[in-house]
Formats: sequence, structure tokens, C-alpha cells
Amino acid sequence: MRRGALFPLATLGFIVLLSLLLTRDPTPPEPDTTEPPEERPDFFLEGFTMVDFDEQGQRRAALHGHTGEHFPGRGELEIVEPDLRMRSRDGATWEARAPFGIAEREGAEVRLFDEVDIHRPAQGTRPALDIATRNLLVDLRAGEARTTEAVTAREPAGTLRGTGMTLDYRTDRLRLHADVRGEYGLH
Amino acid sequence: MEQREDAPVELEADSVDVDAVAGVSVYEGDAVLTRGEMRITGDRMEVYTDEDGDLSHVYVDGTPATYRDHPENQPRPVHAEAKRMEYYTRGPERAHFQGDARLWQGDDQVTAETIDVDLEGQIMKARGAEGQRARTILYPTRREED
Repeated sequence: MRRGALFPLATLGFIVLLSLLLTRDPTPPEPDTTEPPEERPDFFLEGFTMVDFDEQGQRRAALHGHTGEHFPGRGELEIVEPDLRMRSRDGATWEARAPFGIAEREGAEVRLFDEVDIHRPAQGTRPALDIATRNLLVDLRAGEARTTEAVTAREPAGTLRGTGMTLDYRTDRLRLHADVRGEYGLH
Repeated sequence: MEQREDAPVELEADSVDVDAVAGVSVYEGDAVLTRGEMRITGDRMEVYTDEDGDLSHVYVDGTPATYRDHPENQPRPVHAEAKRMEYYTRGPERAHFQGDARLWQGDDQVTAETIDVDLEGQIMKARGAEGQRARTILYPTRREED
């Protein structure tokens, strides 16, 4: 295309650009300061116990709490000082406590936060067992409690330490996944 | 140094499975057991506790399972290895080596199918497999060591 024909096109383009610049609003858009609607609990509990039954109607677990607030949006019950008691197949009771927890999926899952203490009392020839860890997820349907944090398990025979744990409380089996240390004193 | 019977038993491994009902803990992955000067290694260790909650015995499987100890009244450490090993903490404290067992101290050596060592009495028994004999090689103590 000859050079002469380009000139009008370039002029037209310049005019369009100029008008865009002149009509543009320079002030930046206002940030959206509207607060998301504060989520409110739909009910509040105090000094409560929730009992979980299996398909055969057998009592599977009981969750006590000092206070509880239910948030419908998330379908979660926030619990202060949860105390969860889980039953093993042959009747032993495992008890897990924490300063704070959340029950969800209609109580099928309970998450215990911060310092978590798990205790299983002595029974018959079986000695007591105490486990200290953090941030524990209890799956009541699977009958398992899991964490990825450091774990210390104490029984009369000795002390076990490791990182990451799967506790099958129904069969009283405990697995520590890494960095395992065991110390057994001989009395 | 802490008396042997007072020394705790310490274990390390990659992972552990505890059967709280049976009182058995299975350590797996580079398992190491130490008690005072004694050191046992293996791929897998089954730790048994008795009704009093004390560690009573350990079964060790390895490729091979190894053992090292330095008895107080002996000039040189004792070494042993076998496919499988059993260690008993009392009654008396003893070790049983099974499968291509070999035990040596300095240049002296015993090879057999099984070797049993009473760790308290420092007594050792070696047994060959069917149709095989246990072999012991003992070097006369050198003049400067008398």
C-alpha cells in the first residue's frame, strides 16, 4: 500500500486513542468495604452430650462439651472443651480431650485442636495407655483417629515417640508413621 | 557407667505398629535397639511386654540381624549376625541367633546354624544344622597379651 494511503488511517487511530484517554475516569474504583454477612450460630448448647450409634444401634461414641455453637452455613458445631469417648470392639473406652474442637458431617467427624490428650484406662491384663499429640481428626465411621503431628505415647512398659499417627481405636492398634523412638525401662 | 540391668532399652525405627491388646510393638525400617554397650540392628523388630508391663523379649529379622556388645570383663567387643535373632532381657539375659549364625571376638569365630549366648554367665552353645557341624576357630592368645 502506498505511503500516502497510510496517513489518514494513522490520523484516525490517533484521534480514537485521544478520545479514549479524555473520557476515561482517572479516579481508582472504591474498594468493596461491605463486610461479608457475619455468620451467626443458629443454636447454642451448654453442658451437653451427643451420642453416636452404629447401624446396629450399638453405642459407638459419646461427645461431651462445655459449650457448643452450631453454624448452619458450614454445618459445623464448634465445641469448647470437647471430651470424646470412643468404644473399642471389646469394650475398652478411649477418651480424647482438647481445649477446642469441631464436629461436622452430622457428628461423623470430630476435629480436636491444639493439645490433645488421649487416655485408655487399664483393663484386665492390659495396661493403661496415654497419648499426647496435637490437631487430631477422629473419623467415627472408620473408627480411626489420625494426626500428622508429633506424638508421645506412654504406657508402663515405656514411652514411644514419633511423627504422625493412625489410631484404630476399635482394634486397639496404634501406628506411628515416622521418626520413631521407643524407651523401655526394666523394673 | 550405668549397670546393665538398670540400663533402659532404647529403640529407633522408621515406623511402629502397636497392638495394645496383645502388648506387642512391631518396629520396622532400619530398626536399632541399644542397651548400655549392646547394640542390635535389623529390618524388623517385634517387642513383647509382660503382664507387669516390662519389656520381656525382642524378635529381630534382618539381612542380617546384627549384634554387638562389650562385656565389662572382656578386652574386646563381641559381634554376631544371623538371619533371625531373639533377645531376652532376663531369666537370664540371653540371645539366640538362628540361620547362618556367626559370632566373633577379635579373630576367634564360631559359625553354626544356631548360637545361644547366656549374656550373664558368658556361656555360648553352637549347634550345626542337619548334617552340618558347628565350626569354631580359636587363635592362641598372643605372647604380649598374657
